[in-house]
Amino acid sequence: MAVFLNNLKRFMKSKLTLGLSLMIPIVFIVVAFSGSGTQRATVGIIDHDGTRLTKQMIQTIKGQADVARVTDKNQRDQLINGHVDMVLIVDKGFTSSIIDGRPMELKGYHVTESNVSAGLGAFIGGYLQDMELMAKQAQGRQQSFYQALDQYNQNHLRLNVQSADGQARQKESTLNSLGFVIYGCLIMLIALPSKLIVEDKEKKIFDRFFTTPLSLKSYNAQHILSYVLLANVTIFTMLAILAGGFHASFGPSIFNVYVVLLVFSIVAISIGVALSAVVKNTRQSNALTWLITTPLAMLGGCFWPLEIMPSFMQKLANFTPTAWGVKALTKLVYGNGLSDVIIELSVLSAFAVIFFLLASWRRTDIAH
Amino acid sequence: MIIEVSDLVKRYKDNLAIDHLSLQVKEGEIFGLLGPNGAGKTTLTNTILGLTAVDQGTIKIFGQELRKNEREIKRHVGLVPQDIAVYEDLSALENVLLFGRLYGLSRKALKEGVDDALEFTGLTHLQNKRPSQFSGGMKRRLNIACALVHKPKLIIMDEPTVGIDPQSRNYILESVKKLNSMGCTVIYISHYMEEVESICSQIAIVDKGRIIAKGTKEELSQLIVDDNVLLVDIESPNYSIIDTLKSLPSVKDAMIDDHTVRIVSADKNMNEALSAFLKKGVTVTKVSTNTPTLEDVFLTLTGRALREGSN
Ligand SMILES: Nc1ncnc2c1ncn2[C@@H]1O[C@H](COP(=O)(O)OP(=O)(O)O)[C@@H](O)[C@H]1O
Ligand SMILES: [Mg+2]
Repeated sequence: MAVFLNNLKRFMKSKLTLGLSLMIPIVFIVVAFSGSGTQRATVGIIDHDGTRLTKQMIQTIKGQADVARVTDKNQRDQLINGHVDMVLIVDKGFTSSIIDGRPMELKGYHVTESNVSAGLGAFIGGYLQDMELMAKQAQGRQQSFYQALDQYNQNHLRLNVQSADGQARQKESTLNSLGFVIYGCLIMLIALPSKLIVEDKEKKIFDRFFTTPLSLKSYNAQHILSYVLLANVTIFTMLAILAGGFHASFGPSIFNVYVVLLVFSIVAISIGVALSAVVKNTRQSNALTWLITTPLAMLGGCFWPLEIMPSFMQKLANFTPTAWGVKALTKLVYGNGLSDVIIELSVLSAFAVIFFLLASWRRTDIAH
Repeated sequence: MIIEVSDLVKRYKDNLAIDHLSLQVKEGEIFGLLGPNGAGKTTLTNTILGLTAVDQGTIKIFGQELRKNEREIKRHVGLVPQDIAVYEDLSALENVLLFGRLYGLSRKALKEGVDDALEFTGLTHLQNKRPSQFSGGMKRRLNIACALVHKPKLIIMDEPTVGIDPQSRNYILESVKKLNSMGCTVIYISHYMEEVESICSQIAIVDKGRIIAKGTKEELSQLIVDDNVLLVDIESPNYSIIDTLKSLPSVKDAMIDDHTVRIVSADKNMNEALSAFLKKGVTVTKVSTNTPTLEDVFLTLTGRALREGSN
């Protein structure tokens, strides 16, 4: 394991590469999550109706926003001073108007249209639509309506813990972040193998290694193993930051996200190793690393959604491992399991096999 | 025999780097491999260690065929490569440790091997310094230490003294003798004939991928001892005298270096050669003879000086 241990030492000395590969994703994780998640709207509600329905409705809104007590008198000031983002006024007779199928308008006021109030407005609109639908089915019978409402609350309580809107935003931020995690892994795992192996060759240490009982297979295996370890440490760190620091939304299982990132990392390593077989010196390897990683990340949808690119670019993206990594992560974050990304994982594995084969397709002489 | 190479051929495209070469090295020797740049010395070492595939021929080390027992054989061979091959940003100690681990030494053997190798090369007090802070001589010594850590039975040194100061060179030559007295067989490769002359018990002269002469220093000198070497110092360099000399039946070879004309004669009688100077009107300032050196041997065998190179 001499080569493996030696590589760990050399990682520590590659401060620039490591620093960039870790800092780029971290900076973008912070950017992606800033302005989301922690922001909750405060809504002032004046309930002139005071029925079971309106009380339930306030309860549901509390799942989405902080509810403040306001009165008819102070509601304007509260709104202008910014103590509340929005004021809702429920007029008397609101409940019966819904049950009778002639819904009254729910009065909502806000000073400026913000993301927060718009999101909440949309949520309440959706909720009221559901109410009207249930009223229609209850055909004006109060009792059946409230039965249906109880059922509804039970079913939706769990889902409503987080707003549909907030969750979507959280998913989006998670995906943006994961795009940059992929970019960071790509830089690190292409730069280091190509740099370290080429350095060995440049300094003739490579030739010298094989005057010892070390075999070429073992040399390659130990190199790859050291990069896999580095990839794991990086992925763990990034996932820990995302989960612990930003409550990122990874879909059903964070483990699945880890699996996809690891498989992707192995593809990056295979590219790095293949590169090391081609380039002549460390200067070339540095230049090629940047020439390869950034376009791969851009084309593969690490920085923006694949769908916003022209269709021919999307077709082109299918030839990049980054796109398949991003596609798999997108599916996972939006609720799919590992079995739903088998195609993506297979394509990634095929990339790795191809690049490892390219790397081993070298002349038989060690000394050259 | 510790090494037996027979009928080895290695081609680089049209270039015959090793040309049907056979070589035997006995255990306990300091075996000198002398030859100009490009003679094929490094290529030969690379084939002996299995780094370069050969086109033809067999290599046996410790009586075993290289290809069948490569790992086991390599465990007992150390190579000091021609190019300094150590990590510049690891300390001397870390470099030697790395090679010790590559040879799969146990914890105890590793510690002992590392300490001994550093002490042997006089680097103990510098062990925590990095080679990037070393002088050329210190780097060469570290290069050697990395090849000694596993206490090899056979050590091959490929031009270990290139580009260093005289003290470091002497230190290294002395170390080679000490290693040998400790029971290690050494193959010493060089294009400096003085080095080879001073430490090697057996010498092979390599040129253009072939061994053109082999034996002890004395045996090699015997090859041309029948020839008489005459050194004639002349007042001003004159190249036409060489052609005149070469055309004489009694002169085997002639060359000029600065003010000194070197004549190798097949005949004890040098009258003919000397009278050529008179006839040409070249002023002679000094006439002397010398015992042949390996340089003379090489010159006689190839018609070229060692430092001129093979190509
Ligand atoms: N990797 C190589 N590719 C092509 N030619 C080579 C290679 N290595 C050595 N040679 C050629 O083989 C010959 C012997 O070289 P080398 O063994 O390095 O000589 P030496 O070590 O005696 O100076 C030279 O002509 C050199 O150019
Ligand atoms: Mg050489």
